[in-house]
Amino acid sequence: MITINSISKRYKKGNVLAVRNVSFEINDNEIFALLGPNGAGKTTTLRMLSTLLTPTSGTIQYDGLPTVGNEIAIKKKLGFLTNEIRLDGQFSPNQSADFYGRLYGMSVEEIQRNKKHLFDYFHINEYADRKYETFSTGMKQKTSIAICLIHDPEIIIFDEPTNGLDVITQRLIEDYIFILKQKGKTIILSTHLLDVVERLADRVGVIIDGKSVFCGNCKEMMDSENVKNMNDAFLSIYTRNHEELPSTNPRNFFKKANN
Amino acid sequence: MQISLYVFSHEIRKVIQDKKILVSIILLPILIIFITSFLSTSISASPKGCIYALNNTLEKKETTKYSIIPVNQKTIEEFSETTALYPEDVVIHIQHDKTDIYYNSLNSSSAENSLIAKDLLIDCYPSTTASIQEKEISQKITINDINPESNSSGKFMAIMLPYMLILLLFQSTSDFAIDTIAGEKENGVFSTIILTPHKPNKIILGKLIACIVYGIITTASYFIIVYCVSLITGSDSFNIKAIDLNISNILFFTFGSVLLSFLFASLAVLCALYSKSPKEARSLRLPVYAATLILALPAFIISESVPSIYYLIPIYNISCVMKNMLSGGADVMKTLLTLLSLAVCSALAFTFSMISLKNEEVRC
Repeated sequence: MITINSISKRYKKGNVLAVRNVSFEINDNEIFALLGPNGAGKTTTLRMLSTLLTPTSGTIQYDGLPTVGNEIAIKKKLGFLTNEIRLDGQFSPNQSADFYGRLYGMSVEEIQRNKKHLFDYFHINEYADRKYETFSTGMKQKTSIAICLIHDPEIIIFDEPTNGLDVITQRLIEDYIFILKQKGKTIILSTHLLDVVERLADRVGVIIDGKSVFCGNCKEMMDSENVKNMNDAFLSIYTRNHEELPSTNPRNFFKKANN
Repeated sequence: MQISLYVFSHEIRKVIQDKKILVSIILLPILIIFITSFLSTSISASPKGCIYALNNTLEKKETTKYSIIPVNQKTIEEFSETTALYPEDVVIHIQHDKTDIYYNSLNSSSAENSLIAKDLLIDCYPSTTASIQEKEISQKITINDINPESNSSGKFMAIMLPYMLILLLFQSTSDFAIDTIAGEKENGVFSTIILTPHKPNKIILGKLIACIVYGIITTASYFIIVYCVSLITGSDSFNIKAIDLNISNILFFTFGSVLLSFLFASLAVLCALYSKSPKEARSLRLPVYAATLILALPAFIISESVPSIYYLIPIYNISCVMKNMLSGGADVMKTLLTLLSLAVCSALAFTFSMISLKNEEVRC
């Protein structure tokens, strides 16, 4: 279980408080979706979960093990993929898989086994020896996912994994996320595609303006807002919790447009 | 250490796979040949560097064996025609603390005659100063080559080689460090590597070793290619024979290059760590680049010896020591001081890079 206990993050640069007292609990073998508008603090939260960032206050614990001071032990369990994370353009998927597999302390046999499984699933074999820099967006993303999963991590963090991808690749990745859950993995997923969330996520956490404003399953989220789909539920939560000027509130904008 | 070495080998493989880098390693030396050919021609044409004076009292006389010419009145062209020069009357000039014999290396008989002249002087010395030993006499006599080409080329090489070495090392190590750290930060590769279960220090150490090795290999290859091309084309712009290059000098150059690369790589790693892109890192590197150019420059201009304390200034010190070594006049104390100063500065820059990795804004 991952326990996020009242974490805050203030960036020294610009003195920005990106995350404020966020608390969640993520159970083992569940898909937990983290929702929020752009700039809400989702990526910062995920980066703190991945140990790339240290919370300014609060704690994150993996099965009771705090992230601070145990980064290496936690990194062994983790697979983290964001849009910002890429592979070296000079290398082919084969070379990258070997390199990262070795860095994760895997044997050659383990690397070959996992590589075969992932490359087969994501259809990477046909370009496994081509340089990464020559790939299309979809090919890059599929390769990045395969490399991120090469060490068969227990916990996988996906930050907008299907951003900018075509429907076919999106579905391929979504299906794999479900396969991972069936394999007993814990998945933390951040996405703006709420239909994907509704289809995949066991539970949902909503962050708005750096604060956690909701945690529960999709049905609870829709029921709490008395709406029938996730998009409306999210918009309703957002409108209620957003602190900025009324003119920037999308619901007010629509009201104004209708009038 | 195993992880550092693995990251190092990965970085080197990256270079080998990059055809652009390999091409630049070949093209740059050829460009250097053109530049050095131009500069060396300019220096050779100047008579300033070729003024020789022996003794004002000498007069031109023809003897049965040697032609003796008053050196201070002769031009370079006339020197070239002279077979051998030595004091007309050995007995008169034997009182001097030091006697110079001049010969022209372009003329083989001149070189032979200079040795005969030296023997003659050795024979004459005891007759005037009874107590003097043969070894001491030999030390008093210096044989000089008056060939203006080899002399100016040697001077040119003694000045240019350290300067070129410093700049090439700086450029190659810092470019590599910036590309491999700031470049990877920009395209997201750095985060992927940092997420592996290892201390960031080990990963950075691997990259730093790669920077040092890359810097030394590219710099050495530049010189080797330039030298080979000079040999093939017959260009004297890289006349390595004209400089005093012995085993101890080569060892110092190798060790000094390692220390310099270490210093430059550590400084560049520091710039790259505090940047989010190669462009930003290059801006941060600019003051370091300017400082390197400025510090290496005085050795290029100032020829007289400077106090030992100045040899604590990094880059300036190694530039001076290398120049002195190639000119045949290196001081052991100053050399040691230089190595110590460079080692301390490199270690400080490296430590600071490693400490700065604790800062998460540097890591991400």
